[in-house]
Amino acid sequence: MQIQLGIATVLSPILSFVLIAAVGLRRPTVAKIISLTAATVSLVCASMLLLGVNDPAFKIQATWSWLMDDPSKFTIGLLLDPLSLVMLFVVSIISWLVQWYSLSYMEEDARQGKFFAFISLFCFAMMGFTIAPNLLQSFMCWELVGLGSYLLIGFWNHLPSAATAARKAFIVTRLGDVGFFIALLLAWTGLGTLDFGAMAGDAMSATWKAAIGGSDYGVWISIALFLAVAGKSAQFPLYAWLPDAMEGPTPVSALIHAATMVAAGVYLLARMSFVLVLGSEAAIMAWHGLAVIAMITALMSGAVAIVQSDIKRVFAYSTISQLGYMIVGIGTGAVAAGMMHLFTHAFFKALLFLTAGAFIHAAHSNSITDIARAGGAKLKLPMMALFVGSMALMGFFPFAGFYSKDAILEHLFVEGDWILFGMALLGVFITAYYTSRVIYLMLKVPAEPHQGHGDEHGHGHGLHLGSWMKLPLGFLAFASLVAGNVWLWKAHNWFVIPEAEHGNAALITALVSTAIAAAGAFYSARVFYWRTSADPMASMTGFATLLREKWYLDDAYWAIVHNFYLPITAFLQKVETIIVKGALDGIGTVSMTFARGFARAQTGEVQHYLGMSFVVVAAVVLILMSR
Amino acid sequence: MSLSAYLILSAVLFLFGAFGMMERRNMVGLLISIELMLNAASINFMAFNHFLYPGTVTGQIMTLFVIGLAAAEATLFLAIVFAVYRHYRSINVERVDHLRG
Repeated sequence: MQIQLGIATVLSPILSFVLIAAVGLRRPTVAKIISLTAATVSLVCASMLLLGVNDPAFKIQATWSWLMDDPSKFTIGLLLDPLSLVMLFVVSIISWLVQWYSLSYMEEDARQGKFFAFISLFCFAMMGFTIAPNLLQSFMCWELVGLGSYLLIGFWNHLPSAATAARKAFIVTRLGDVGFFIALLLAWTGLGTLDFGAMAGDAMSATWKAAIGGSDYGVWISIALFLAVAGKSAQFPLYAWLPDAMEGPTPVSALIHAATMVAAGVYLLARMSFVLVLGSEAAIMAWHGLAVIAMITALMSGAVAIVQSDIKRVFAYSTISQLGYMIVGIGTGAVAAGMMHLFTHAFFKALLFLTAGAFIHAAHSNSITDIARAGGAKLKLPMMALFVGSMALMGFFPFAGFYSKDAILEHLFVEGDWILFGMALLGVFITAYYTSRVIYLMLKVPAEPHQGHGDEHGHGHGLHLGSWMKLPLGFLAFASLVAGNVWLWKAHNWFVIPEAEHGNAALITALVSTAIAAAGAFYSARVFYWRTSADPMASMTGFATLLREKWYLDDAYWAIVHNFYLPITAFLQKVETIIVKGALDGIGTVSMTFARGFARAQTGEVQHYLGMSFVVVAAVVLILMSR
Repeated sequence: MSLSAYLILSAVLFLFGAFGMMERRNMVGLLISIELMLNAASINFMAFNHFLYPGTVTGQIMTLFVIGLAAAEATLFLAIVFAVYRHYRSINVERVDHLRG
């Protein structure tokens, strides 16, 4: 029964994609109905599956052999366990809400059919990745997710910036995918299996420990996977693609940032976390190293978010930062905490993006000050949603982010990992600072230089909320409020959560992090709302420039491309021109010369041919007779 | 009459045919020359059969084949001549030189 439900969940989006491609591309209404129906089927099935889980050890796996008859080699199928079902639920509910929201957001677009087809494909890819029972299927769907993101980020491909952003996302994540492929090959050659269960069971065996030159297999697979995760989940040094991905339609940004694309890397880590549980000291060291990188990423990107003026880019950098937190959680061994943050973050980040989309849709601008000038603060529901989402992002009680962020902080505290703990607290401060800044800038409307008519008209001004946007915003705001509690209420059915035996750790971290977040929000208010403090960025001009230039990461990539890659390609092109092309041209020239010579013999006159054949026959006869 | 007399006749006939092939520009002339060479070959067959293997009919059968072949060949050739004439308004082989390299 569960297997049928799982199949229905995963296959309905791809069915929707095919159907829309067949009949819906030019009929937006049909496309919308198909897409929403499929999303509803997925959501219902995924919810039923998740509700049926009462035990962390729950596991159903069904596989079919693929490519080869031997089912022990390559299989595709479903792995339904709490981890995959939680993820499946998150993906299906966020994609449902996003599609519902898109009914309004995309209503003026001429290519809605294509949009919904791509969204369906994207959801299918992510769901296929989620339920993959082995690394190979993971990898295929992982690549499909990349394709889906490429298609959606570049959906408005008439804009050069969107086309460039799509290419950038594709190429940068491809760098990470090389790591995935290496991990795949290592697992296959070293362990002889790609099945997650078999690998986990094998992890203690001699095969797993067998070395490449004496070092640990698990370590190498982990490191290769980290590269993939850095690409997909936008961690240093591969996060450069994600802010540019804002060029896509906002619902797509919400989908990518909340549940699908970037969550894939975190999910992969959670899926492979058995390496951490069973692996050697070196493996634990490697994962801890990843956690450190993720923490640094979180701080770096959080700092960049402070100086962004585009509302979507603030949230984009915030996503990188929050993904860093998830990876810190998983990398230090708190898989449940990491997944909890993924779960709650999916809701409040989807909420924030959809809210940003509502503002952008109404004000026709991405800039926070433009939206504020256009009267964005008068849109009651989006303002409420922005407030709730921001509170959750900053981690205030009782919003969802409070519980999940504290779960990670508490884990770091209990582990006694003071460096990471301190950095995480600094991250909390930065998060509160840049998140509340958005709200203050929205409320504090800057004086408009040429203020004239129309300010009082309100509704007549054209600032309105799309009618299909209300339900997703309302629901997500509600979810951002309660998702943390839902998790605490249900999670013992899904994950083995260590009992809190360390007394006051939870209370201490909760108090400390709340205090720090409040300090961040308060300082931000002094700077951006009351304007009693000077903007710290004004005094630290060098640092501010560094942030505005996004740590010069993009420039570093350009420098590498210009100074290394392009000269190499230029050199190779010369080699190609001189040697390869020269050789081919030589062959051509020689044969042409000969051909021209022989062509003279062809007069076209039949009697010359006849004469020639007489001569030849006579010569042959003479030669034969002379023997 | 000896075998060599027949062979000389055949050789002369063949050379006439070959000369005609080289010399004539008219396609019908070419056809006639080809017939001459074919018939020269037929005479060879008949003569060898008669003098070397008397009592057998192998040479005659060969000759019958040649006649049949010649008939078929003439048909085809004349068809080609018609086609060439329609295309070039001439049956002079010197004007048919599309194969020139």
